[in-house]
Amino acid sequence: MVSAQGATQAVITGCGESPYTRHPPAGTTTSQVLADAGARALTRAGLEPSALDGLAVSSFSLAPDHAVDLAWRLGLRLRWLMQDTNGGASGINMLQHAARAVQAGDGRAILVLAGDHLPRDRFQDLVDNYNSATSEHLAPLPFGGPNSLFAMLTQRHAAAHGLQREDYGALVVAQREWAAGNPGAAYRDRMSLDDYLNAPVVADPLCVYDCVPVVTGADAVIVCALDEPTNNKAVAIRALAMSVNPDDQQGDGLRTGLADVADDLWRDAGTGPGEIDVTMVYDDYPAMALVQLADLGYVGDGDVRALIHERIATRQLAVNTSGGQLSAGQAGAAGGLHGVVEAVHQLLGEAGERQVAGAHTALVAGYGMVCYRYGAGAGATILEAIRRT
Amino acid sequence: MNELEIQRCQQCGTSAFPDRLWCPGCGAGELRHTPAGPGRVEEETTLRRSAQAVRLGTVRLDAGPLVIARLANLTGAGTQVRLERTTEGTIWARATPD
Repeated sequence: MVSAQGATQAVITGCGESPYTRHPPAGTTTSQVLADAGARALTRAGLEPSALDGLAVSSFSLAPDHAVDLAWRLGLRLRWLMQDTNGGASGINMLQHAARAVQAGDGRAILVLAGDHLPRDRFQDLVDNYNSATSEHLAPLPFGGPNSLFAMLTQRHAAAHGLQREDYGALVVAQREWAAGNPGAAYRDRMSLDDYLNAPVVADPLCVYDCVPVVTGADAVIVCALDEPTNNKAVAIRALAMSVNPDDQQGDGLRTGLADVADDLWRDAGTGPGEIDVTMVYDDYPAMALVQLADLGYVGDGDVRALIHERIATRQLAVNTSGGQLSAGQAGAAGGLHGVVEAVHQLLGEAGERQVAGAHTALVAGYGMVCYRYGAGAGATILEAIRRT
Repeated sequence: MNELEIQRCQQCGTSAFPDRLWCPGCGAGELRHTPAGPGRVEEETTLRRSAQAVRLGTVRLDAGPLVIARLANLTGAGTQVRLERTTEGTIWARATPD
């Protein structure tokens, strides 16, 4: 359970995102975009920086600085500090730690940040030296980054579910439709299925629209004790679970650790996938978005094609309403928090043109940290809008 | 050019690649290097955006581990291969007679 009896309840009171940009101005730094996202979240939450007593950060490009340097340069006086290295799973992981800290009384108002500024050479260095297995065994091939690994995973996924490029394309086009309503998305122009099918191939069968655009940006969330005086609107964390290294990288990658924790998640939240208004899954590649939805129980009869065409494309199921990373962009480690920020915007009724009417409950999943062949970390949370009295 | 090496657990015989610290099968710490032996290409993809197209594959070794390798001529999904590593570290999958 997220909230043990007698413990302080942890809620999210605000979130923010620095504008995602493919071409940041000269002189942009990672610390700057993190600070920008944090300031936006504080404004939304109605809090001053002096109210913060905790900070968590995930970034691939903060070095040589660390979390403590960020705290210092932001001028924060803290009792709780965390630095996370879990990439696409970092948002959920930091949220888990921050919520527990608030419940235990170690912190009352925690700023959770994730973001990156990765110019081309730094991005290439990150990709080739992601971990020792990558630098020793994949970079010398060369392997072209995770695209080649997820190209082969997508082949396995297509074979397992009888999917064609048109099916993945329908998911990508549906997300682009959502992105049209997101001023912060890198790609907002409407895209047809033909545009998708005719796009240059990156690694068979993946084309450029199956791969996230690399952007500079950051995301921020504020986790508070329920009785912390901020806005009267908030988002309760109903359930949260993480899974790390479920299969030693010896599987087919078509099942994440979310499958192992899904039952606990739904039980803790006292709800099920049919009751969720908005769903954000980690879309580093279209196949992975579909894998997470299946792991979490959204595909009861196993018909993934029907899920795409009859539920996602029709918006019967609101999935990745920011446009997801495929359209909004992937700002490095911010990708792990992007879905949380979008869900909170939706639940607080701040999503503008793309607002899902009456959005009251959300599920957010994170996925990441490719150890050798696919991601080894995954997590999910179930959120609910509440009105504080 | 040498045959790729994988690990083999001295306790339970489980094979592993890339190197582990404890055996993924039994948790023992005594893992020794051994030649990878034969395998078969399960999927292949081609990197199209590099200067020259690079063909890569997933190779399932008879010993168990899955290895991402560069595919030499005459190899592709379904072919029997052996894995070699160059001094620069590139792992090549080369066709072997069935």
